[in-house]
Amino acid sequence: MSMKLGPLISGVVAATALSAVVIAFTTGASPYVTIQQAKASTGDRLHLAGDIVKSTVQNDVYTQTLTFQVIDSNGDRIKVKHKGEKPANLSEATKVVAVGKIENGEFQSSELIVKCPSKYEAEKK
Amino acid sequence: MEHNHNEDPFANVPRAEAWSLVVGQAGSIAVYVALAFLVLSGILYLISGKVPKAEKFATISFVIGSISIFVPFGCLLALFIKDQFQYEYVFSHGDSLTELKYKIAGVWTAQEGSFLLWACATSLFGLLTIGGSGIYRRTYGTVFAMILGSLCGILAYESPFDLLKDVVQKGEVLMPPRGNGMTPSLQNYWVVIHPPTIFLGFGALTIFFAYAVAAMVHKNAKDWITYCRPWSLVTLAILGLGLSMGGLWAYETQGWGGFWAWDPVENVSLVPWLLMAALIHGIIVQNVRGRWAASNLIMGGLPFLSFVYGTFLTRSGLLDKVSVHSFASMDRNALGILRGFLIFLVVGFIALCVWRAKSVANETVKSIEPENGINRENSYRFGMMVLSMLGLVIAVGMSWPVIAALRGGQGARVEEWLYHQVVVWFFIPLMLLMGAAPFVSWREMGAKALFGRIANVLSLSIGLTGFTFIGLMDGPFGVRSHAESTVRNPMGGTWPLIPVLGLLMFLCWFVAVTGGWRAIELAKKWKMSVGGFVSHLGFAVLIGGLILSRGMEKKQQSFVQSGSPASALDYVVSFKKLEGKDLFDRDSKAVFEFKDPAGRTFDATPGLYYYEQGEELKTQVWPFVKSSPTHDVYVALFPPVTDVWEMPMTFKPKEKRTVDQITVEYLEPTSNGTTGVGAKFGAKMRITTRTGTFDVEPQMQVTEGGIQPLLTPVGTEFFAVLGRMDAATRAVDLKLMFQKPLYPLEVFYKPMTSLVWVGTGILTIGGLMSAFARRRRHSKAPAPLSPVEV
Repeated sequence: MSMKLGPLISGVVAATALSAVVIAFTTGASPYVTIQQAKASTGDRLHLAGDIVKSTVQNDVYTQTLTFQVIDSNGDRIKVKHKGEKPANLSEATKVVAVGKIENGEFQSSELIVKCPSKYEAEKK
Repeated sequence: MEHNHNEDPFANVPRAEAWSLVVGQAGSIAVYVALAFLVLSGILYLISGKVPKAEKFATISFVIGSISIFVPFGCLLALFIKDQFQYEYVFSHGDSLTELKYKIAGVWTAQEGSFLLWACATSLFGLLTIGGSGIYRRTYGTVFAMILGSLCGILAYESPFDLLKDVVQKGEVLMPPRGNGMTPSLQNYWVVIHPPTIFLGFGALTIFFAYAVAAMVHKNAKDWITYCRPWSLVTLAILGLGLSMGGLWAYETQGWGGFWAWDPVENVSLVPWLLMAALIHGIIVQNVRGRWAASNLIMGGLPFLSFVYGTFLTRSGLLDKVSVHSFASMDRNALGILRGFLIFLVVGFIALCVWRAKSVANETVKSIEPENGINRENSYRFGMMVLSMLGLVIAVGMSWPVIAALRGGQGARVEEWLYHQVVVWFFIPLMLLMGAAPFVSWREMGAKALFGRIANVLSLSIGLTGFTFIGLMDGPFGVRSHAESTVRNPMGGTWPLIPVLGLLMFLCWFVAVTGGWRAIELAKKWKMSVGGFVSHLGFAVLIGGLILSRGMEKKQQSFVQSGSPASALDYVVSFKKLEGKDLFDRDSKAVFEFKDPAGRTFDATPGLYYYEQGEELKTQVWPFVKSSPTHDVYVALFPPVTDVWEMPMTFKPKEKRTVDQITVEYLEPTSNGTTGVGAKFGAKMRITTRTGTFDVEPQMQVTEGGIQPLLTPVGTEFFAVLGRMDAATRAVDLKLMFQKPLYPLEVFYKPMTSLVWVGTGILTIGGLMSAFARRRRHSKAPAPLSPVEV
């Protein structure tokens, strides 16, 4: 074995590994989507960000299903159906990121990330 | 009551005492004083190459500058302890009623304070190391002073000493009696100990960067290794402890039942830890074989640079969408300094490395000819590579939202499952190396010889993996119950969980057994390096705990009402009572009884209390953890639900509507008595729920204090409450409430979480042992040119 073989193998392995990771991230990362993009996508971890339409919020306590409409940055609307734990601070939230997929024209959310206007995080200057 | 317009509306508001204004001023000014002395010290160090006398003054200036950075910290601490709410930062994060420990922690709960903590930790290590920096002092001091100076620049803009906007009235400073208080979800003992620990680790990273630069400038790639070796071990131990504390903090308070979420802020601290671990192994190789001097120069700078990059990324607002740690947007000037600082450091460091790293290393370090084939050096090379690559991959992962956004679209986020899927490919070779390399000698050895040395350890590890799984086989949460569980694989499909966990457990056992084995061997010979192997053992135990507790986790959601037990996992859960002085008491608990199939019971007491924020009533909940050596039962309580509907529903007379499976028919409006106090207005309604149909008449009564709704029972499940009645149309707002609040619970079964605690302890002890063993003996150290008292 020549003395340069070690570093050479290291370099090749490193380059291969890094390319594989970039490919994995490119194909696997969960995209932030608009409603239009969501409807065209088959992904199941789509991140849909938008404003909650307050008057449309409904919560079925028996089935623990929360439904509401969301308006995205393009002004499109969609019904979001969330099954499972309701975020604690939903009532004061205005913006939401719903994680899930499109099913029958509705957005089935499995996770809700809410952003709250909080006075603890006041804007500076 | 008549109001005199000339009367001072703030007559009864206390004035801020003079001392507090002096303290605030002193804190602000000290930042500039520190900056001035550090700049002076940097300049003096620079010219001391030509004018040797200047070095002494440079060091004095450095010490004064560094000590000055503690002044704003002390001032802010005093303002917090003495409740000086005229300061915006104290007002926002402090409260007169809170305990002393939270007043102290208030200093670092927000952005300004965490930069201050970083600056103080950095200057502490500056003071500790400048005296021993010997032949490198000129450049080491310049770099350190420049970094501290930049932090002072950031602090000058991100000042925690700004007064509240409206407290200055007619030349007097008013003092609000109470502050907002620390965000309740932070109020936990971890907020007192975790940030100082992890920032101590971040502060220490500057040492290696400054030494690496100094080594290249002074064309001496040899001695800096000796100087920073003990510090590198201390830093790794502190960072590791800080990381573990962060995980335990999340576990105990966040309610999602885990330790690590791959959040950007978590990753920012993990990357320097990985790079430090790589550097430490590089230092060993340079010490023993005199090789890798060039790569060590590069590796020396990376932990610090990765931390500065991560800080910029998380504080710049670029990741706002993805992090649970939200920060106030930074002051623009301060962010500008941070950005400039980052670019200058990265570009400067890369340029210096390209220019000097290789030549300096070749000129100053005598290397021993490399061995071929399997040997310790090659094992370390692969280990370092894997660690550095892992650091790089995580850094790329946390930057992915930005990278993806640059490629068009709104960006994308790397989630937990994807991190796991990628990280495991680095984890496997890393653990194999950690298991095998300690038995590999520095001289070339054949595969057969290596196998001979590790055969015992390998078979022991396989056996122990088997025993682990047999031990965890049965029971409601055991291996058998996971027969159907799967994990995502990189090909887009799934793999069964248990074989994957089996492989990971084997790897942990392999590293643990090797670590323990070598530690015992060396302990018998009284060798110093025993600490390193103890750390390996601790790492394996910690990771094993994380993998088992997440991999074999089971969880179930449940809703419990007083008098109606529900089942969760294998338990029957019933609500017992609320415990505490009142609902606002921070120590209030909700008590639930958990009964297992064998009839054994225990009480789970998650925290539940309310607090006011402005006009609103808010709920704070804390999870409850029932720990045992084999598993934790983790009970996360969510805010109790009292309202059936998200918001009141409006009904017109004669209207019949079904909302969320409850049918309401508004038969007719009623009134009782004439207008004025005592009059009642109501609505006859027919309400159908799952338990039956009820004719009810919820009412509102006019009282002295305004219109009050009356709670009207609907069967045994709900109350009907009228919110408002339209005088013209007689339309009403109806609200349905639970008679007994609904407690949403999420119950987790987490096997072997005890290992996370034990592993953290062993890892930290091992790290400190090795740092102690490698401390510089004063007799051996090169004499500093001018000793500095610190």
